[in-house]
Amino acid sequence: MQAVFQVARSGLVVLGFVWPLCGHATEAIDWLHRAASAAQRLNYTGTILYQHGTRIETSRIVHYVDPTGEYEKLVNLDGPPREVIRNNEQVTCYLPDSKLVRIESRASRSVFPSLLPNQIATLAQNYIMREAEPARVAGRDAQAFLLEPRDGMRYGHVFWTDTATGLLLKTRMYDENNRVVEMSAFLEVQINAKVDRSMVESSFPVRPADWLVQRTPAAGGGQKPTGWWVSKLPSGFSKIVEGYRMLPDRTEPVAHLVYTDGLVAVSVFVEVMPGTPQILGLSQQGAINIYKRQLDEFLVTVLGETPGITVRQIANSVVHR
Amino acid sequence: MNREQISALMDGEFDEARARSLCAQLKSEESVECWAAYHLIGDALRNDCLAQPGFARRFAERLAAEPTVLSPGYKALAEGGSGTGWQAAIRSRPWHYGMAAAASAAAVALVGWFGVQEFTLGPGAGEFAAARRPAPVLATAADSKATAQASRKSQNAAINPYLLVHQEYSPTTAMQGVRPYVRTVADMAASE
Repeated sequence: MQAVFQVARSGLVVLGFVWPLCGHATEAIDWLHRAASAAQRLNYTGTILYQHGTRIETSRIVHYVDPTGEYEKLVNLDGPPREVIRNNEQVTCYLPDSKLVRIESRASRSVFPSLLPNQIATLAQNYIMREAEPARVAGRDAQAFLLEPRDGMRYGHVFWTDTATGLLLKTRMYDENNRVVEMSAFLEVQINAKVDRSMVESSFPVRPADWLVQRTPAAGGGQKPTGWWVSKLPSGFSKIVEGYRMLPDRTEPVAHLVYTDGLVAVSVFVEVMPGTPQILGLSQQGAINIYKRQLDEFLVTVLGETPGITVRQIANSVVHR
Repeated sequence: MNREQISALMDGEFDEARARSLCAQLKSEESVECWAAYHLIGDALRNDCLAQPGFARRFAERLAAEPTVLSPGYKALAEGGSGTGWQAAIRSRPWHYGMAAAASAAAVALVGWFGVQEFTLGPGAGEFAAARRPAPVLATAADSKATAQASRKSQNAAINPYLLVHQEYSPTTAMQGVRPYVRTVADMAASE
């Protein structure tokens, strides 16, 4: 009976909301793509303010593009100096206070543009999209777009983009009580700034002599069935990635599945329970909720920029075929 | 209060207001036993040190036997601005102040005790036991807080590889470049 009701309700959602919103949805998609494209093709430098709960951090960001590709550097300005360097598909995190370098590679470019065919429908099923009041961010005129979730399985999002170039200037995520979960914004930004390659290089040697280097290789062979699946996937999420990844300190590859609702993603990792003690249950890192549980001799780790109930439901319904 | 709610409360699935109201309802013997049992199950699964039966009662007795803690006067606190919640309650019922201090010290100690499982009550609420504590700090409470922070740091360090992999696949990363990595870098800094 409840299932029938749910089907009827989702039917109502499709008939009642999606069609009238197609115009807005298309507009929102165009606008998200403009933001994604601006983030990839513009040279810019700026200072970013990041807020999560009562915590505030500032960092410096430089983005540079030339015919060889896309380069980006992020340096935190508070606390011990740490750097994130992106060279096309490779992201390197320098953590000098831990004498640690983490190198993360991936096989393909960001998944956003490749979602295009289904994205309008998926986004419109999960969010009510509308343009909000224009505003001024970092001294620049900005357009605002609101993506309001249709259920409690996802956060709401507000995006402010630069009217002139489309670059994302500010984002805000909020929960069902309208409380801000996370916010990040440029305090000042120079778009089309004079940037050269040296400005996006690390301040540290590529491999400092006495530092530990942890390398996460790109997913070899791309998609591969793992035998794991999620039996009670929250509505609106669909699988976009399934395969095996090597993680630092692991001898065996880890099964990795990614689900998206068109805007945010949830990752599911399944591995043989490591020998080191694991902290199970729910935890948070920024707006990322993480849920870990033991399933027979396996460790299931689910994380994503969604509310805790979403990662918990997914983690609790991971099963082996 | 049913078992489902207790389980969800332990997993931090309620917002601060709801968690507070549920905590206030955690009074019946049955609920408290269930709460303790669930934590014991969690500890057993994680191979943590197990709390012996009656831990909470013995803890309360020992705490009650501790010498009185020096604390700012009730008057100073009352003049300290328009506090809300139990600060206001303290103003109206000063004799409860000692009890409240003892209770929050106990709460902080519990956070330390259960710190290994990241005692989160929702955004911002995780620190409520520590943040709402009045100025005087019991040594035990301070130690427990440090323990909670230490376990949290190790938790962050442990989760980073997953987060790094995940972020590369998140659609929002496409719009933001390396900006979401602030979460990885900043949160670790803040936990030190």
